Amino acid sequence: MKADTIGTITPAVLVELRPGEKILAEHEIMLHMDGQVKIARKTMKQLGVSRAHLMGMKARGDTEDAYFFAEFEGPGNVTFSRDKGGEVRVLNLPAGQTVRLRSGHLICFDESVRYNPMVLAQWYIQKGNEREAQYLFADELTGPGTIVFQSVGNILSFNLAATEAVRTSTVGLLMASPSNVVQVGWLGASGVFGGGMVSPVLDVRGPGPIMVHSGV
Amino acid sequence: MEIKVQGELVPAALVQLGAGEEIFCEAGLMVYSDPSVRLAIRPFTQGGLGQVIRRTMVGGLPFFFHVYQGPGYAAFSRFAPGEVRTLELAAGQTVDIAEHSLLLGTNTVQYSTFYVAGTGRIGRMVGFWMDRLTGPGTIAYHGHGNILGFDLKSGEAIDIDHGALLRKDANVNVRAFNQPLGGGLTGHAMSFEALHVEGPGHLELQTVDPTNRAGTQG
Repeated sequence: MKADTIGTITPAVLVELRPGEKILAEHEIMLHMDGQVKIARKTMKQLGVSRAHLMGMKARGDTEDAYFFAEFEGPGNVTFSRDKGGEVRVLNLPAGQTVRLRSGHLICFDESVRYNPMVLAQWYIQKGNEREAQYLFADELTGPGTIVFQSVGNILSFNLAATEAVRTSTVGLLMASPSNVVQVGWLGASGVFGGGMVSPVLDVRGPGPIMVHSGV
Repeated sequence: MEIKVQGELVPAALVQLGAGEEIFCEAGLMVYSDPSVRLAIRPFTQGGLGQVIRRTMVGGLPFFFHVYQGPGYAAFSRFAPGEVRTLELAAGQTVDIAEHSLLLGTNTVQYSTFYVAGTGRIGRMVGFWMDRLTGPGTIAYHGHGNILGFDLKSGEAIDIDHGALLRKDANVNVRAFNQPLGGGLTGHAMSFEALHVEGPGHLELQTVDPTNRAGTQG
């Protein structure tokens, strides 16, 4: 696919599809499409995501992943918008390269890209007398092919060496690679008012490239 | 009269009104004005009582317009991120603007509305209103997000999300339809509403559906 970003405030993505070329996207983010573009359903099962895996994700409370994607088939142009401000990036994945993108930020991807929803991090928070599980869901995408995604706010990229690590908020991590280790840490405040109050953070270790975004 | 667009993220239209010059707009859009600018109210009664009730109580359109009369400055905004554009309408030139997107019009611009019927599916889209504006005069309008322009040839058509429609020439046809999501009964059951837009004429889309501005964030 040939994908270009249009606009700066709330950017849209213009995708040019050749005859027979197919891309997948969430079905509610299409802005416009040419009359000759065909639209169909692609279920998670057709993408190789087992029902048990999907039900497990849903049981954890993941509401971002639908049970299907909308499949757009060329020739023609399609534009997508997530109705949000933020940077749109187009990433070409070589064969075998995998990225883990925070759930809810994927715009579209080539049919050749392998898709798998996953849990990137898990932690617990105390609510009264109960411990409640929290999850960071991600879309695992493996090339070959092109993916398009959007951040909230601006994107900051880091290429971490094996000994390096960055700490980010639980909403700040946008993308990691499988070689990165993502661990949940706890940031505590000290003093009379802060004593005993801790917040979860993500400690991301190298090696591998990561992206964080500036919005929440 | 001079109209300038100020700001980039949440832009406003700044109007310099000469003595006696007037613009009209929906209530609640004024950001600031000189104390010398006078405010009046103009009722919009097109179509009689039945249409007024339908427009205002069902459609949520205003019954009154605010009229600002110079001399002085007045600025107007939709208080949302996006682009503001101005358009000089020649005498007899007509454009249609999506509801709640018009910022202002000079008092020589004729204003009316029309209804684009929905698909009529239960629990689905029931249609929407558009403002019809005929020159001579100048209008300013707000596009949520970025504005994308298309010049459609005669018979050329595109399908769009219904929240994306911002502005079109009067001779550009628009109709709502159900877009099946794949084949079979399931595809029809999961169909969604879209708009079929057919030229000839100029069309502008906005990248944010104003009815879905809060969006969802991961």
